[in-house]
Amino acid sequence: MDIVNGKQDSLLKVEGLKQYFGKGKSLVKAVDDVSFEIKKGQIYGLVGESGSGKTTVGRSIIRIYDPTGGSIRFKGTEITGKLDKEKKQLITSGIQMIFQDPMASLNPSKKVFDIIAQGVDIHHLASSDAERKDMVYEMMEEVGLNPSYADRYPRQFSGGQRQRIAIARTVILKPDLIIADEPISALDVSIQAQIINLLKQLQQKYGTTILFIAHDLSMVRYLSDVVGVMNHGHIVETGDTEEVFNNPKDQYTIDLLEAIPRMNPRRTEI
Amino acid sequence: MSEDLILEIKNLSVSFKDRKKTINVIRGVDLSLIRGKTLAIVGESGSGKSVTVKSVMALNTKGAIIDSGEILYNHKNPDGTTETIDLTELSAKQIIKNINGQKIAMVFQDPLAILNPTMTIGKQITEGMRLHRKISRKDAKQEAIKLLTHVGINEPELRMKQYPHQLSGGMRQRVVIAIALSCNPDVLICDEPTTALDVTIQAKILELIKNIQRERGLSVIYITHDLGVVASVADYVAVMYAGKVIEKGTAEDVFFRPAHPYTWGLFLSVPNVDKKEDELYSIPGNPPDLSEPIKGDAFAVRNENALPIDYEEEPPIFKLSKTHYVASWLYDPKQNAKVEIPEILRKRISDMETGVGSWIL
Ligand SMILES: Nc1ncnc2c1ncn2[C@@H]1O[C@H](COP(=O)(O)OP(=O)(O)OP(=O)(O)O)[C@@H](O)[C@H]1O
Ligand SMILES: Nc1ncnc2c1ncn2[C@@H]1O[C@H](COP(=O)(O)OP(=O)(O)OP(=O)(O)O)[C@@H](O)[C@H]1O
Ligand SMILES: [Mg+2]
Ligand SMILES: [Mg+2]
Repeated sequence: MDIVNGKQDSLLKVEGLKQYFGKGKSLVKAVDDVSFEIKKGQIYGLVGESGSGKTTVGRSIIRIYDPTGGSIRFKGTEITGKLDKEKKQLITSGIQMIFQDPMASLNPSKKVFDIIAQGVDIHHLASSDAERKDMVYEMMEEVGLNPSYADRYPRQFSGGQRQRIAIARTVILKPDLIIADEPISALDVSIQAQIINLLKQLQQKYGTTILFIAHDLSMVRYLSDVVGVMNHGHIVETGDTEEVFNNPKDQYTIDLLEAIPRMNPRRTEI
Repeated sequence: MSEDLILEIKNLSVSFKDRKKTINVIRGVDLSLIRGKTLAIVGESGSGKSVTVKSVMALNTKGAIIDSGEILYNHKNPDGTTETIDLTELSAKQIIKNINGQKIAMVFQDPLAILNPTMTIGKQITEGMRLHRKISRKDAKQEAIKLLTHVGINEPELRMKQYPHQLSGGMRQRVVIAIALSCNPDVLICDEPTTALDVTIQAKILELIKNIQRERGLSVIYITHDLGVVASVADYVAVMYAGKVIEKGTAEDVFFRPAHPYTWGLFLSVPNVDKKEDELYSIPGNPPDLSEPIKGDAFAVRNENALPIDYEEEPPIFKLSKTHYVASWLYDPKQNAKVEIPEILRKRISDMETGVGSWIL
């Protein structure tokens, strides 16, 4: 399967996307003329400055916002503009987002089991109660959560455990496109590795396409086929991952790569 | 010991009551912070790092019970005398009034949970300054703008008027850091302070805190999963697993002579990007369920080199050097065990020591 280099179908094509907030003196051009394309089965790493518009790009794609301008085509269908029932269905069944602030996205009054099962119920993915249970427990194992915690509430978990609840409830749905916004930053490196392996497996087994937003450049390099670097609302550089890492062209990309803290107490001096 | 300790956590145990079950989340933690130095706490997600530092400030959620231990804060008065306060004996109210912000300030892991969604950023930064330092509205505003600039936020005047949801994740995180710094604390505790920041801004924040440390002798505890950050800021490192500190020492002790098999596993999980492995290494198995009693060494079931005694008895702390401690039977002379650091790790360490290696990129 040549999912990286082939001329396979475009799953998501974003062209000239603009997302502005506020007006007058407080106008913020969060995303300003951003274009990129993700082929089916590809993992696209989106990195860049804090506040450069990465999360906004993700939120515009799933239409939490009404884009100010530009075009977003998902599976060939334009999904900007007014959403009719069909387009809404296309988005909710085809795209899932893992949000940057896990606590804010987890319902505090629901048990973890029900949080993870929620999408399974909405999309009728389990044919029996037993299957539903199996799916949830298996998913908990896969993200490194002890299934014996299924009856607990979000506040009873650590930051990284909550992050994994958010990952589990998204991945269990096996959508065509996952937008993962900083999915691993709250996790220890061993569990980061476990989650990265899981995302890679999804890509390989189910051809899942992933927009991976992250600050950890070594993980981005490991996981992504293609990367885009954002700064001040623009994509300043994009291309094949190895090409960008080995031969960065834009000054911001160069600065970013140089600022990576080295894991050696003798080499680093701040 | 003659060391000047500003904070000492002694034999701390914390549990949560969950209807019928009791979850023993912290199981006897000993940690100390030397005045003016930086301690980094690393370890498994869910191992108790946040609960430990929240105990310092009586900030654990309802239902948390301190079963044993003391948390001593050695405050230096302006006249040079030292006053020792056991923070576990203060009520949450007393801590908020007398400790929080001015003496010990904390940056939380989840900025959204701390920031008030209905209050502007400006109000949230100036509130503590005006309360604790009794300065005018105008001065507080000036200082808040300066602080926001220091933490790398552009257009601070605009941001002061905005609400948390109008900021990006990393901006919110920096606002929380600015609030923590606003009352000139003696001790700064940062729980994952830079996870939402890109590496250039991260470097800027770490540098800012280092500068304050140089100027005012600030003492710092960092909790972070980013081992690159640990390597660049920490004087001392503590590694936690399942509610215990299983290894601690100077940064050099832990990076160059890691002793506990969990520490080995953690270091091995850092991707080696020069080679594109098919799969990243991750420590097999799951951490134990802390609502069940733990027999022996909590890491034994995940440790391929576990000794028979690991399944029977909990290991005490063994002293490897004046600064380096580890809780593992491997270092009990009576066990006669052979300590073998995994080959790949040994290679990485020797690369680091000769200065060429950095593990990452
Ligand atoms: N709902 C909103 N209202 C007003 N401004 C917003 C809103 N959401 C985002 N912004 C602004 O848009 C810009 C981009 O924010 P965004 O959250 O997309 O950044 P980001 O690249 O995800 O940053 P980070 O890495 O810090 O998470 C910021 O200036 C932010 O303040
Ligand atoms: N209110 C609570 N009730 C029950 N258990 C809790 C509660 N808060 C935390 N815990 C449990 O205590 C343990 C330690 O949590 P803590 O938040 O200290 O972990 P951590 O080391 O900070 O992890 P992370 O790196 O994921 O933030 C976890 O297993 C968590 O599930
Ligand atoms: Mg973001
Ligand atoms: Mg934590």
